[in-house]
Amino acid sequence: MKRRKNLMWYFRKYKFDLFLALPGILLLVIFYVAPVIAVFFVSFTRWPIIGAPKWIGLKNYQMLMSDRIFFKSLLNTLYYAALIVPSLTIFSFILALILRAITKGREFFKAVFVFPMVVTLVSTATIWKGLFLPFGPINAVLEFLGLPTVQFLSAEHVKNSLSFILIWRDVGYFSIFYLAGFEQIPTEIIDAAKVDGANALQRFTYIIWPMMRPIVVLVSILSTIGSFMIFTLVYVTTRGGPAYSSEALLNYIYDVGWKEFRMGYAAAAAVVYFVILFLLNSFQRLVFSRE
Amino acid sequence: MVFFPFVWAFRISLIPTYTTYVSFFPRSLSELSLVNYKYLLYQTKFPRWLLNSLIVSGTATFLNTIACFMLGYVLARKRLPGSDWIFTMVLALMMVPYQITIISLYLGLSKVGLTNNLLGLILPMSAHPFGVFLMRQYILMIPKDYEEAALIDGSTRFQALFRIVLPQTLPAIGVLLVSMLIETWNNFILPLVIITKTSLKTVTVGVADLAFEILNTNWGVLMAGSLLGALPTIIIFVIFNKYFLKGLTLQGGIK
Amino acid sequence: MFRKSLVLLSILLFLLTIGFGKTLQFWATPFVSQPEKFFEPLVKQFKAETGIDVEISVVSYADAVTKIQAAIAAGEAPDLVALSEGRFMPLVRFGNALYELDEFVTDDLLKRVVRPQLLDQYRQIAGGKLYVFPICFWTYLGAINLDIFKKAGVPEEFIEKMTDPNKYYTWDDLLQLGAMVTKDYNGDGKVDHWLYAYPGGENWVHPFLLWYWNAGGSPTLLDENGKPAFNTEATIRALKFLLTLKEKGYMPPGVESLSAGDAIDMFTSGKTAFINNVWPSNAFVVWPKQFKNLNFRLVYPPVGPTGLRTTYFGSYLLAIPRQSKMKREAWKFIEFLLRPESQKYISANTYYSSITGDVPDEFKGDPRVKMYMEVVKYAIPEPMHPAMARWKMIYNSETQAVLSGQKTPEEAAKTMQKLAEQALEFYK
Repeated sequence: MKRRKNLMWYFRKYKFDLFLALPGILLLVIFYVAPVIAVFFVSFTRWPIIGAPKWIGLKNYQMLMSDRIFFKSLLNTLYYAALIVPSLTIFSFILALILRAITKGREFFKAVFVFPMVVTLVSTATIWKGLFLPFGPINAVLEFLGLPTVQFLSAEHVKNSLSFILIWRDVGYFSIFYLAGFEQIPTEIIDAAKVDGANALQRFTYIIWPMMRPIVVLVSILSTIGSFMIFTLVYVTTRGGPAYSSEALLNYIYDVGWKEFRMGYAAAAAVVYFVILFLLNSFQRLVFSRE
Repeated sequence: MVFFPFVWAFRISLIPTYTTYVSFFPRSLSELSLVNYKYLLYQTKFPRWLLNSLIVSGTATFLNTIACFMLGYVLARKRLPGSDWIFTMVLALMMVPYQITIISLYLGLSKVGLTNNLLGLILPMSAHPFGVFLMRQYILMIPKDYEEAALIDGSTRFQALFRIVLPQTLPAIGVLLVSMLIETWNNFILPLVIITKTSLKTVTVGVADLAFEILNTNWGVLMAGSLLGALPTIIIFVIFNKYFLKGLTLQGGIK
Repeated sequence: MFRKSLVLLSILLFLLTIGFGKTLQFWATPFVSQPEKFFEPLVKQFKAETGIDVEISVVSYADAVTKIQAAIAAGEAPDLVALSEGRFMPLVRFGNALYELDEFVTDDLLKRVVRPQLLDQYRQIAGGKLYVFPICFWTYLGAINLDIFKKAGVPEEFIEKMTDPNKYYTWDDLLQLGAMVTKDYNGDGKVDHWLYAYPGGENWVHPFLLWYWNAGGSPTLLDENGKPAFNTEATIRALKFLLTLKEKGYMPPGVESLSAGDAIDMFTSGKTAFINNVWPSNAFVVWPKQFKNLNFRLVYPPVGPTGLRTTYFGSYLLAIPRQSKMKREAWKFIEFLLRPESQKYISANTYYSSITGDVPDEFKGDPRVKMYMEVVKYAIPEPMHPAMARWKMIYNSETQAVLSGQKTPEEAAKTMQKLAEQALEFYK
């Protein structure tokens, strides 16, 4: 009797909030939470898309451990992150500093730099692919200037080239974050510091940097997630080639699951992906909040 | 630096070509033609793809804004027990890419017959964890006092929400709208897996198809398609430019 | 109000997407550009005769099998699908997704087929049943750029060795050719032409196979014991040859990362002098129309180090998914496509060869058509093993490692073998 009264009481009390929250929660649960849990279970099965999954226990994970291509794509993704995260964090900071120095037409420049982010990634990737071709325009310009041509899409350079595309695309977007942070620093503090005789470097180290730190954390976390989520970029430009030099982890998961019909295996790789990303994220938060 | 790739793409799209070994400056104006664009518009299903993308993005963004706003409010005001847990879950979900959920999502959708159906594209995109995150963070910054005052004055919770909180959240909603519009428009993996009928494809998958369709890449058409496919988002960006930037600024101040 | 509009919206969307009437769903791969337009007259006539409509959806080669498998899993299989040799076995092996055509195939039909051994091969790999039926086929020829040959001063006899069916040229000849052709012609210090662009970066099936088979490799990629045949003389020879071409500089820079399309691009834009995977539509239509400056000539494949002449054989295979509720009607359409008039139409508009030997009149005197038919006798179809998808990844990856100097051919062959056997575990 008492229990039932409690439940009804809860409903009545939170009726409004439930009504508000329900669409969001339902959608999230159905389309995000449930699939993720399902993927976890699928990773213990063998399932060629057609037919019911068959339980095989940890076999997928065992196979994963000796899968050369899996490790290659994992290393590739880590490489992307290692290249992109620092670059984005630092370059957008610098860009923000530059933008801060521009007084006239700042809005216009802001828009210009954010622009690449707005263009569909598929289009951007296709266009850059054309630019990077061995006999394409960039090499043509290099030749014209008498410089050696670079094989942008070759095994050694392809990851750098793709990382460059992503950096080119996102740098403006993240610089706005920093810019906002700058604008939040009260000018009185800076003026006071100037009056006290602090030079630019000291102002930076003791005032600007500490206040910007949360934003640096945000940018680095977002760019880490972004570099792990690389898929379309690779799919459209190289499809993972040459021979897996550019294959990102998500691409491998897609290939294995959808092209080789090994969904269970793909799910296992997906679980590993998620664990790694989660650990990395937590690690980042820890490091930055302790400092 | 920012625009160069697009300028080059435009140049290539103006001539019928199968290679990219084309000089930057045309030898004569007569070389240029709109043949690629004509091909795209009249001989492929490109216009239909644009329409599909519009329907999908528009609807998904609309639903998203509503759902995220409401859920974000609830989480910000911690009205429900367990709001913090839900928020942590949302944070974790932000790291989950569609490539992973699609594995089981596809099966689920097919069981209810939503594959090859635009609705099957719209629903999974109707609540993005990032949107919830954004709304919650922003609403947190809005002082509770106004709502409480209104409640004391006798208005219903509903009215308080819409008349007081909503207007103050508009900048964030602006950001959410534009971000979600771009995100849903750009989404590649969902239409790739869920839609097979050519007539139902979205622009992103359609353009990629053009690239891989015939074994000789028609760069001219490909560039034209890429540019046209990006056009709507560019237009939206130009129109809502101020909103977007203002919102990003605030977002930067959030964390 | 919100909910009502949602319901309305979903009804609207649902209406937009369902179809009405008796329609065959046919998923076609783009063996010709714009397949819908191509099939239009055939579909029209078929409808006039039988009242059945055929709706064509185009699926790209790369995604075809994925989409078909996914559709079958979702219970939304089409009634007719287009496949190739390398693509149908996974559908048979995983989920038994295709329907046996034996009950439909009549003896008359079998008699008309130009290469009946092909059907036996299809049966053999699939446990004795016939799951696919070809409606047209093509082989690959090679091509040379006559302008480059002239510039390089290649003697006439050499060209004859490549174009006369009674003569032949070997891999050593190709090396000689490379030396003649790869030069700086205009004195600016840079090489202007190369011999051959091998698409090392792309995950296509055939570039490696063409050389592997020419070196005596197994047509099915399996040895007599049914094990993968990668660590063999043929592999090592082929890899060594490609490596030699690369090391001597006869391949253009960046070759390891070229996609197959880009490699073909190199030939059509006049940078390379030789190519070995020319399919009919390129030779007859696409190249003459789009690359008017390309002065090319079709050549036969070379004779490999074991004395074999080989080339690739591809066909457009049609299959009926088991889930289809219109199997008879689907077969009717296949039969319709196999009629002499349909075959002639197909051949005339795709430049592929009719599977029933019905040559369109305009082709009858064409020497190029003769060349394509000549090589059929030694053309090998794509291997049909269910593990082909992964094997292709493996051999392309190792070839690329060799070309970029990371491994020796012997090491690569060993790795290929090991990985291929590993892959078999899953595809048993």
